[in-house]
Amino acid sequence: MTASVGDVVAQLRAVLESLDAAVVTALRAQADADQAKAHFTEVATGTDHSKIRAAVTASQTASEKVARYARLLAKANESLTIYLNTIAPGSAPTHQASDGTAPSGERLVAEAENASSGVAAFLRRQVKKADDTQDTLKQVEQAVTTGLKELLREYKEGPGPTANTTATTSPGADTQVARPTVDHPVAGVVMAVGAVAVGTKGLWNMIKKRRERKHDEDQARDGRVHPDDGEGGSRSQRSD
Amino acid sequence: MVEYIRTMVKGDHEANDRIEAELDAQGWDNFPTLLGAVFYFSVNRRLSPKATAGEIMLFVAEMRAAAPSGSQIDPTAAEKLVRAALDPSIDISVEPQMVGRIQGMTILHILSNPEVTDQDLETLLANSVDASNQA
Repeated sequence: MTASVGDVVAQLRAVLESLDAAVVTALRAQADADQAKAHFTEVATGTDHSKIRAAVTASQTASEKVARYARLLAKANESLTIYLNTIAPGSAPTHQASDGTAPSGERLVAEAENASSGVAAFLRRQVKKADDTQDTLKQVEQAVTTGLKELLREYKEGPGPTANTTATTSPGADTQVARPTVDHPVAGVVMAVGAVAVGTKGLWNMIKKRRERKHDEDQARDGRVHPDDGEGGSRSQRSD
Repeated sequence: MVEYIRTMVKGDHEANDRIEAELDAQGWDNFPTLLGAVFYFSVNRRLSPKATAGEIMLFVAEMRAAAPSGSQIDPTAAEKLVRAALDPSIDISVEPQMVGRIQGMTILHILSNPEVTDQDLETLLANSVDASNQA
């Protein structure tokens, strides 16, 4: 089977989406750790018990480590996006603001528009988006209203806030990784990383097979041209 | 319609249900514009226009963590929509039903905070009504 650039791009996009989900999960875990620290700190008021102080310190450490983890994942995401757009321009969404580059004319106009009336600009874009869809404006309005009513029903009937975590970003259909619901944010982070690892492994296997195939072809060709030069033996020990 | 959002934020479920039934009978025309305006002012109350991608991610994560367990939103779409309220160069490319869910959850998360006084809420709602009337 030959892996095309399209296959590689599809695999990379799946990894990118998994990274997105992992960053969100990590930040959520950080928010939970911050909340835990606040609770422990409150409980610790007026007491000098070593276990409580240890809990405050541990939750602080957890928060800092998860924050660092999220930053690293975001950095990985950014690098992968740049790489993907290099091998297949326009194939990955760039959802980070392009800091450090000169603003485009469109952006300057947009900023001026925002300064004068940000809310009007936002509402215009919202209506424009509705105009761009195949549905009628009425249908779009109904869909927005339905979404809100549906959410409110859940708030009215549902249980209170929870730390339940599910990565909701889904990779492409051909590379989808099932993600069971987990009840602990840190477990969610671990699972999200696992999903990234699965996607990366698939990509790695694809590239490895391609290299092996190329290696076999090179060997066959070298065998025809230089049957006794011994190069094939040393190459076969090379590790990728 | 603004009363629907007011009762929603205040958690007055009985009044909210009653107004919802009335609006179902009368029609919800232009409601998404009002909802969008309340969303815009809420986001800009909570986050700086210079908020980083990480700050927006953290905000969305906090919001999801505070929601009931059965209420989920697409976090990537939520980050995009929040960013769009802060940065006019960002396109709004989110499916309409998800827009309703995200805007509702964001408004509830920001305006239900005890730090938001009744006066703050009334000012924000009045500005939103003005903006939606002019849109």
